[in-house]
Amino acid sequence: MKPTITGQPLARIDGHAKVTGAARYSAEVQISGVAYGVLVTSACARGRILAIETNDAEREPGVLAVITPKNALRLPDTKVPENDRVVQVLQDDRIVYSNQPVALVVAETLEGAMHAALLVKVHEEKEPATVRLDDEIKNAFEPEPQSASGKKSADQVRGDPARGLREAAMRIDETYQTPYETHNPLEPHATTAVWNGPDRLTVYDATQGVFGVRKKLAKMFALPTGNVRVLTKFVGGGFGCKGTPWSHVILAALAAKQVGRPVKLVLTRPQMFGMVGGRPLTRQRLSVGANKQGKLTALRHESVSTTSRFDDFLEPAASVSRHSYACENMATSHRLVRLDIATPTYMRAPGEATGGFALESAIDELAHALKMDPLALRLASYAETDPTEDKPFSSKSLRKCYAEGARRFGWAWNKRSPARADGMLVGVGMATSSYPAYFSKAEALARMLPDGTALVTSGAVDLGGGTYTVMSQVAADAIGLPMDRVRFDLGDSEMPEAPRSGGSQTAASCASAVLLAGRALRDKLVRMAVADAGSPLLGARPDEVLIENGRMTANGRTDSFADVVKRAGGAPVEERARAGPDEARKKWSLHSFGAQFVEVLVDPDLGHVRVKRLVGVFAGGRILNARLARSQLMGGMVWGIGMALHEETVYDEKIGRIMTRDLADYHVPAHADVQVIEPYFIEEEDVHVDPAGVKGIGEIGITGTAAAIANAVFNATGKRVRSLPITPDKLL
Amino acid sequence: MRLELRINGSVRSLEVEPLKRLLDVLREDLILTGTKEGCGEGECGACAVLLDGQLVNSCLVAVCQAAGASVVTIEGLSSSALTPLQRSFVECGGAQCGICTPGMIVAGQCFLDSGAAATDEAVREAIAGNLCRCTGYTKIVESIQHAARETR
Amino acid sequence: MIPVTSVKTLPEAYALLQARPPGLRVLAGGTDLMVAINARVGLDRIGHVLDIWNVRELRGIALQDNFLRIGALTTYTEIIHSTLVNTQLPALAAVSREVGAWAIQNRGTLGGNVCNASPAGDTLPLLLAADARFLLGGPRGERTVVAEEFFLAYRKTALGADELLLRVDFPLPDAARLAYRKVGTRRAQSISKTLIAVRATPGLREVRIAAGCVAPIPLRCRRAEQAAMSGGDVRAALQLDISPINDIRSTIEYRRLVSANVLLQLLKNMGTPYSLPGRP
Repeated sequence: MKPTITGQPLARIDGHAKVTGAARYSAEVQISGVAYGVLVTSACARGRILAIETNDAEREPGVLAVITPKNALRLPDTKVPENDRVVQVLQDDRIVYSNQPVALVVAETLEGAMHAALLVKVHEEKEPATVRLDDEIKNAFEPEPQSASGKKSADQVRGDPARGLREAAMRIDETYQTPYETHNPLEPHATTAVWNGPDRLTVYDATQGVFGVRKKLAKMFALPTGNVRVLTKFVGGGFGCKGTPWSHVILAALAAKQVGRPVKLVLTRPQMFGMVGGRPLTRQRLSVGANKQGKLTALRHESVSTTSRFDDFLEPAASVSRHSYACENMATSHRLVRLDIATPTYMRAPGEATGGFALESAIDELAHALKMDPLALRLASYAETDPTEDKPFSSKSLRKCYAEGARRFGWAWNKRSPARADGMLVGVGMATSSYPAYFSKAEALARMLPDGTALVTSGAVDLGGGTYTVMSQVAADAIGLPMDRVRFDLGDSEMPEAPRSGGSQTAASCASAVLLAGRALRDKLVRMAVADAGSPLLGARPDEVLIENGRMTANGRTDSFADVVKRAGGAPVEERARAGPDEARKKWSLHSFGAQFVEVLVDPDLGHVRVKRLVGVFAGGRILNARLARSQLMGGMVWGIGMALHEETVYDEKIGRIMTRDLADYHVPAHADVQVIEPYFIEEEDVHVDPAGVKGIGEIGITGTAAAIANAVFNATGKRVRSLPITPDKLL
Repeated sequence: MRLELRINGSVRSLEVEPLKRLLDVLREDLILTGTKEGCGEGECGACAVLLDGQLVNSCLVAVCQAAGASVVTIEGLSSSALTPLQRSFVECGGAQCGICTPGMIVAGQCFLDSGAAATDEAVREAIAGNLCRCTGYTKIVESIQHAARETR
Repeated sequence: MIPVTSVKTLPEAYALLQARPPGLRVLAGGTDLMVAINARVGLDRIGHVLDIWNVRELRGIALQDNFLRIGALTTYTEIIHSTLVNTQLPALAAVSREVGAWAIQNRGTLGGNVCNASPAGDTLPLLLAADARFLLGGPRGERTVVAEEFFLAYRKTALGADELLLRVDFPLPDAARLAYRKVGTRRAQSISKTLIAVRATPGLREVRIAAGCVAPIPLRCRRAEQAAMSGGDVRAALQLDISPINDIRSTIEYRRLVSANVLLQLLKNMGTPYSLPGRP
């Protein structure tokens, strides 16, 4: 049977709910008797809570509780699960970063809670704190292997990089920096916690993964996992900051237990700066050497990134250098530096976004030093196999991406474009994009109902990328039904387990499980039909049964899914399936690749950079829905523009407090920052990556973009900016 | 204070704090959760509604200033069928995570109603106050232009 | 909770002003005050709110006695769409289009921009360059203050505790041209990094220059004016007028350099011989 629905560029099926305002997000679930929680956060970056005056707040009408470390319920367990972030949940008086929760006001109304929160006076004992990398870089240390870097060790060496550099005809040895950034999905974090009795908890949470939230809550409240239910039907963007449950999630549940009422806790935009993670600052040294033909002889990539005093998050920035170019002599290393900041976390393309900026800038510098087309230099060291792991790529269409991108863009590197009549400087640049293809264990349940429609469930989430839609498409094909007779539901920890929506793995993991479950259901229905005395198909061989639109046909006779179910008693027929990586998958190096080409205009009087045109060609395995995939890629590319030109979380280094604490001063790209964005695909058939053949496209769009823009700015101005963002002052 | 609002055509009488944000009155008191909060300071446009026919950020309107006024939210734009602009947002991919969508559509409807030519520049100016973190904006502009072609 | 008095007429407003409730703040379109209230910033200093949004007599645009008179509650949108403004003072319509976006322009008022007195207030350099006069009124009567004497120190103005800004009057430019440029942190919906406004007569015989974001107050740049009128070094003179600071939006060096670049560009566009160094 040929798939006919998967791959079609269908409009999103949740579109109607979203354009009418009917879609209910986590802050909007209506719970009777709900009380409102508002957090009070710390001013200083390190110290101790001396005292918290709560009397004025408590006296306000409608205030149910002012919860502080003094009176907060003691949690049975304050340890978090493995690979999860440490949280601050009012269990002690320590202040470990600025904007940390130090009290929680619960009141009958939102404005009552907001007002009372203002009346809470916190007395802090400040201790010396530092948020400056330079102050602590002497204490940089080698981190333990972490899940964020695929459990790979921090350092890897191959060949003799020192010799490779010595023998190079041309060398680049430069340091690049990427700043702290903050995810800022448009939906603020929100949690509503409801206790049904002393040991049963239901939580509606704006999260990228309901099972991670369930696990953490169950552990910290010492409940059986099955007693905690987490739901999220719509999430307003995540990009990593909703990947792990932060302090407020635990605090909402704690408060609900303490006041004996459901509690809704929504963060304000300023509270989303620090408390829910962000991209750490990275400082990366690149030492790259090449022979006269541009073939790399050495590649050394050393990254230092920041983390908090109390938890390790590693931004695997140097990892991108392990897979990108053919080179005999390579060394990559990661170091962490502890500062008095909140713990950073995954942010769209962790590692590849930051590391790709450094690597792809250095490659451009090398090309210019060799007076060589940067694209030709990249092709001269094209990696046919994974250079670090000595494995073949499961699929790699980067050569096609380069060619197609160059053609569509009209790439010609060696002409320094003349300034325009209006004085604007013009420049072009390019860079390589890449991101690993992750695939995690996922389960799905497919159920045929007596009316001949199917309900397929898997506890994934839809961050806006289109999970509802593409899973319905995959399920329809797998079962043999039209789209309008399949319903896919998600976002509930009572459903079969799916991985967190992160690392661009939802499509690959969940679609594989849905595919297997759907096929299993179809096969079961066929088996039931051919063995059913009431079926026209009785006695047919299962492999000769053709299925289309819910009808099974063999030897000119037909039966329907609906009739099979009805004859079997009318109870839904179901099959459950699990997909996940196996041993065979380990034989391959698994990555998506792409190439981005950009034209910029630079105003020589103001230093403003405008991205006039951004062309990206990406190969990410099978594309389940081109319309939605294009949106994902465009969004990623525009994130790249933000990373290149605007986004920076700025600290006041004297007091350790973030100064850019709103959308007025933390600049995400706006309409006016975007002109022509052109994403294209190279379709790949990859039978090794996962059953669905999907590599994921949620993150690759941001990788390489910032380097391509920096390279174009260099082409326009002759100025090489090695520290993002490329703000106007750096160009004048 | 006690005040009356005409919300999506029907009059509602409310007892509220005068400085309560119109946004919170809509979302919490009237359970019209289609209007979103993104920033609370007029930067993102997720809370855009029509107040006496004019586009406003409801997070910056004290409800006392809306007393007696008519308010149209995303829920009030369409009755049973989608408007051409809503249809365009679905068809052209203007909606992704959906948080900016109601504000974009309310602002986009204002633009369509203004009768201005739907050039790229004019559309981008009209929705300059609406931030989106997902789509990269292009498809939002296309959605509005598509609706302009459909309706004019 | 903060008490609010909503008024519809000036006498009602004046009655409250006369009583001088402590911590009185005036609420117009809310595009500044509501931001502060939402952010819970300085809330403890707000004792009473006077809501003047519905005082109709403070709205409107008229041409009278060689002045373009704009009521303090006139919104940016009304200014943008006013035929009078577009013919008599097009620069004011243009600057209004760069304040926030539509939703802000529908609520934000010219008077609010003046009374908020931010050094980054988008219209303020233009008002200084245009020699605008502010009509203030209260229970003690009315008086006029010229723009230059209105801004006293950082966010401190000549407005009395019992006064409201009623109207902004622009002497009509006879032969003079008025131009401005806003350099924002991004292309739209942005906070300014520097703002320059210039009013000049042909041949630069009479020049008024004002700047925003480069001092604690919106600033008249007299040294730069002198240099422009006498053919001197405008770039150097401007540096003596302004005293920018480093903040999260920009740096001292950037603001100095770009303010000068923009000023020279504006003067050049007015038909003068200044050229821009650094252009290829």
